[in-house]
Amino acid sequence: MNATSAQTATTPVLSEPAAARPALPVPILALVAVAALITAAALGLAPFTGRSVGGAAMALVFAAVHGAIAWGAYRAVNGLRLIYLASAPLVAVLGLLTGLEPRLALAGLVLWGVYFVVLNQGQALRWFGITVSAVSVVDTRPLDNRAWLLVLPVFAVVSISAIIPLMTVVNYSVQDIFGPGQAYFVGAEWFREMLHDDRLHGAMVRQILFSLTVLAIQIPLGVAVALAMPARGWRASVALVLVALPLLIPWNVVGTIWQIFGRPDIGLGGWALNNIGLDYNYTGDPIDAWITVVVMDVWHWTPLVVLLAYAGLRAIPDAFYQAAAIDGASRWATFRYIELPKLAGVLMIAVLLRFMDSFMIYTEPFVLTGGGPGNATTFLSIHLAKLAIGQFDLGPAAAFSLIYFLVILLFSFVFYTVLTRVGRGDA
Amino acid sequence: MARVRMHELAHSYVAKPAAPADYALKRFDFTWRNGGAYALLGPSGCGKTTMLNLISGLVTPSEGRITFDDVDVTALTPAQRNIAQVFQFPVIYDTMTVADNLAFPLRNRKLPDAQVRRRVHDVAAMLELEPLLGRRAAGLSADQKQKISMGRGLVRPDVAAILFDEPLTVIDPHLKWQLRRKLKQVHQEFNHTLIYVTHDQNEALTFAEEVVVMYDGYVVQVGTPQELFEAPAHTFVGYFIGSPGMNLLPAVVDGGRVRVRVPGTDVAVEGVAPPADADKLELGIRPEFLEIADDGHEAAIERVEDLGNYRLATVRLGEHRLVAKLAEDRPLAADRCHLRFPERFTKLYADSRLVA
Repeated sequence: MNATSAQTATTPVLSEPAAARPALPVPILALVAVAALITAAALGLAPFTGRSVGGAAMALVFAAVHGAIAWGAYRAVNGLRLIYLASAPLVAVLGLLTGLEPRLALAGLVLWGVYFVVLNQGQALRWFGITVSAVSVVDTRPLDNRAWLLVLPVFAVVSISAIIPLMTVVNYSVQDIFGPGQAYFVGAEWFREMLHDDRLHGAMVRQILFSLTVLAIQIPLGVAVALAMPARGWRASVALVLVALPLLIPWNVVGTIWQIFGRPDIGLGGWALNNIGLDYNYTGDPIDAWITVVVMDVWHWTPLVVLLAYAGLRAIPDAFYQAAAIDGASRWATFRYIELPKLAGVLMIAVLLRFMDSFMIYTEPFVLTGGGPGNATTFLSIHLAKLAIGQFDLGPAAAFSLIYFLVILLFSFVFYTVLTRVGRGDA
Repeated sequence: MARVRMHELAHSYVAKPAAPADYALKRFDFTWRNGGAYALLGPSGCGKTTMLNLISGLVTPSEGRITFDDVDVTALTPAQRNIAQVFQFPVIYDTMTVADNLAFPLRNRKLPDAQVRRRVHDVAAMLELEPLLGRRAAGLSADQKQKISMGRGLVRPDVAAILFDEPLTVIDPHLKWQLRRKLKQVHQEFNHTLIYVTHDQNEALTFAEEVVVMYDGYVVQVGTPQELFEAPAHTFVGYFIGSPGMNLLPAVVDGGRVRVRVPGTDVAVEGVAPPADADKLELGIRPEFLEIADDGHEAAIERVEDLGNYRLATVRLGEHRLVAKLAEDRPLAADRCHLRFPERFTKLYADSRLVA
């Protein structure tokens, strides 16, 4: 007996061909509604601080989000099933780990169980020999949920490395913390405060200006260097190693190198500039400090763009250059119509990486200028660090870092969307 | 359009070639007729693409000269030579529309807009690309992309020659046939010099007026499909063209005559003087021409395969095995038969080359 017929014999419902998917059936709607109510009730009874109305409202939002995800998951977005199934136990774990509320953990587990059954189309129950016909007819596509087990290790690692710390920050951001065990729910107060904070505004403007500046320099420069590098042979290897050297230097050492290099008294760069008659002093003059930070970042990170662009260039088949030669294309036209379009993918990655990295730049300016002179080179992360581990204002700092996180996410999303459209040619 | 001549041409990718094996293309002279439709046929690695790149100027020959209508172009770039070339895999300019792709070679040569538009429309009509003209080229299917590549080759009215490097590799079989017919039609209409590289003999034989067969860096034969079939100049041509390939039997010289050793009934070749210094002699006959008759050399039938419209009989003559192609209705005894070697189609090869 072959594999197909074996499957047909044991799971006749699942192996039928999936035609048009039916509208969301009543059993599913009912389950989602019940689950949302259970969550809302559980959380409403035990809001975040134990008493406020805000807690109940947040619980409702929480339930609504669950419902929306479940709906999306039902609408055949397979990734969402996974996210959902991951998120529900996560909520439970977070409830415990971040000390929010044990009942939240319980609610999460209940939800997880309900959705697991629903989203699985009863498949999970079938593992235990139970057939739930009401749910198993919903989706006729064959599912093999055991593959999810393979995700568990990654999930475990990511939970510890990213999700739990992030959610801890979320927890901090809605509380006023005086000390261990002395935290009070303050709702969105820190967010309001941060969004109206002048120092944050200043840092944000400087940050955006800095990121745009380094992108505007590093991307074209990186492509230009990659184009100028030898394509093959020992020269290519030597060039690659030389170009990559700055990437191998620890970030704080990069800062130190430039700090000394730029000093007017003992630094080669600063000394030389002053000796040719320029009044250069990065510790005193904001413009000089800015130029130094930008030049340092260009020196440090352009190689990354070069490496990416170089790899992209090497991946272009010879036939494209040959066709261009035969079509009589100029060097510029070859770059414009062959190399640049073929590089679009790697340049998108380069822009994203460089944007995100430059937007969270900390170590090098911290070592070089410490954010000065005055606030001239105080970027978001330097400001944040002062707030969080300088002044120990954990609540405001947490709110700030969430805003910071969302801003990066937003910018990256916009970049990604625009650039992938460009790549596909829909823009 | 031009007559393309190759004078004493040879090419090696090695910096200092010494042995013949260093040469991707061995020294040869050849003239591609103006307006001819040629197929360049040979197995992978035989030097076909090198030959094409030498003509287009993508590769500069290490020895010899190339002239277009008696003008030396050896040192000129592809653009200066005014050659069009279509590659194995479609090359398109992703960010451009189909129309811009087709117009690209013309715009690079600064043709007036009106003329560009006219040419683009003509070529699009010819290749049935008209509905796609406004579309971006990036999202199209492989065969549409290859049509665009071809269109870029055909769009220039004054090209010296159009070269095709296995252009139909990525195309579906039924479209292959369509595009090949289109090319033939284009050739009849505009009389371009077309050189078409392929390793598929059907493609070569249906497309070309003349087929150039290459093997191991040598041009082994140039001829019409019929000549290649009836008088292969090289055992490789005999083996490569035709299905199944030519029967080749080791021969010896005995008493001034060429013979194939078969116990009792040696096959002798009449009227050919064997070359004195040949290391290896072979007798070749195509399965189509090997006659199964009532008298002649007696052979044992090993196997008969019925392929629908003909049959293939594998027979054993002494220690040699041969294949004969038979009509469906030809009666055949069960285990033994007699073979006749018609003189006209029985060829002698000395060191793989035809003895005239």
